[in-house]
Amino acid sequence: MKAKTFLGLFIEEAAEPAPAARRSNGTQTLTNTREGRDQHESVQASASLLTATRTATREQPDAAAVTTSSVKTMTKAKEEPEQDRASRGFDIFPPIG
Amino acid sequence: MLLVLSNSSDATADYGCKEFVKAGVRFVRLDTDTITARTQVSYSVDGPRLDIGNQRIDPQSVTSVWFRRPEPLLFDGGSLDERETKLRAAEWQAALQGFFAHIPVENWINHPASNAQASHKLEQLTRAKIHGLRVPRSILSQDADTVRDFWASCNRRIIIKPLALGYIEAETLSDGIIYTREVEESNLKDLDLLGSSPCFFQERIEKTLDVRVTVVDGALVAVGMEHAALTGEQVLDVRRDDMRTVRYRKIGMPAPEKHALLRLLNSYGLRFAAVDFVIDQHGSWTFLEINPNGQWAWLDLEAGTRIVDLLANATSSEQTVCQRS
Repeated sequence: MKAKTFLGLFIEEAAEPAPAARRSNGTQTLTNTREGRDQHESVQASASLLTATRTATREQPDAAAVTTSSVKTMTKAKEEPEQDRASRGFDIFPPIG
Repeated sequence: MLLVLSNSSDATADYGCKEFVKAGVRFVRLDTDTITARTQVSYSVDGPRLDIGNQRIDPQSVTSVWFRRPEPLLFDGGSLDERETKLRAAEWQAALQGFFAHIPVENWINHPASNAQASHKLEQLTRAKIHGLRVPRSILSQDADTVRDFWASCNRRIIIKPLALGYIEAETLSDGIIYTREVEESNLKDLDLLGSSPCFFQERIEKTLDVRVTVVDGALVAVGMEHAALTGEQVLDVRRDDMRTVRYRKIGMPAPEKHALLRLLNSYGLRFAAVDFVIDQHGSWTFLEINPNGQWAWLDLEAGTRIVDLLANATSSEQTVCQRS
């Protein structure tokens, strides 16, 4: 399809879709993608962390082992969501999607 | 006590919390997708509080808030109709924000208002130049002749990049991604498309290295990122290929650029920032952009930095003892 904006000429196909948890509809359904599995591991770990209320003086959390695969979600290549969030100012919790 | 504000899928928060435990930092992590199921929020004129299980948190006990990646609040079940669903979400949001509003701005890394102020890429460039940093020649335009002249004046080497969205989620098409790209001469015939949307262009810097500078309370960690194309030159956008072939090395930052950067970040009230620079063949540093809530944990894992230690120190510092606002 021919682009109708100049910047549109430079759009490339994403290698894989954004993980469901990050999509703007706000759903937390985990995908079958590699990133989805990474996130699933994180979710499991985080749930246990919160349950334990995680203070250093209490039971220590069984935090997720940060593996090379999870690095992918932490990189410079994943910067964009913060811009959206930051632009909402003191609206700490973005609107419900 | 440190409050970590994020969501359950945030691998960086997972990593940070794990390291905080090792460092003996007292913290509680609040994830926006579980907080409503596990927390009770309350208020009286003496102040608000959060109850999570047996733990009670009042704003005075919060010495720091690490504002990571909060997402829209999620709720467990309930067969509410549309009106009550919206009402419940709005009341929860207002109640929690009311709690967090009691925590002084200086206790946040970063306060979301500071993030917002520092998130406009055009204004970043203007301010960076004022504070003494070298910035690329840059224009935003909808005029074909202006862009054509800019291209000619930059020795026919300019780049285009989006100001807001690098990743485009689509419902009826596959998702799209826009990297920083060079504008080729063959692209100029399409400049009439500029009329429908402004575009941002910069001179192409003949860079030899990309640098990510992470700053926490004035402490800087600079990491060079080598990502060679088949031609041997540094690729235009190091984010390509999920950065799989990037080689990292810690480097020093020249004092003039370091001081200018700290002045710039202070002007926004940022205690944390992830800032992008490039270094050219003459060794000159050029500022590209600030990511006020940028990613950094991958550098600890890939480049051997210990940015998490800076964060642990910053969030457990006696200097951030909460004062009731």
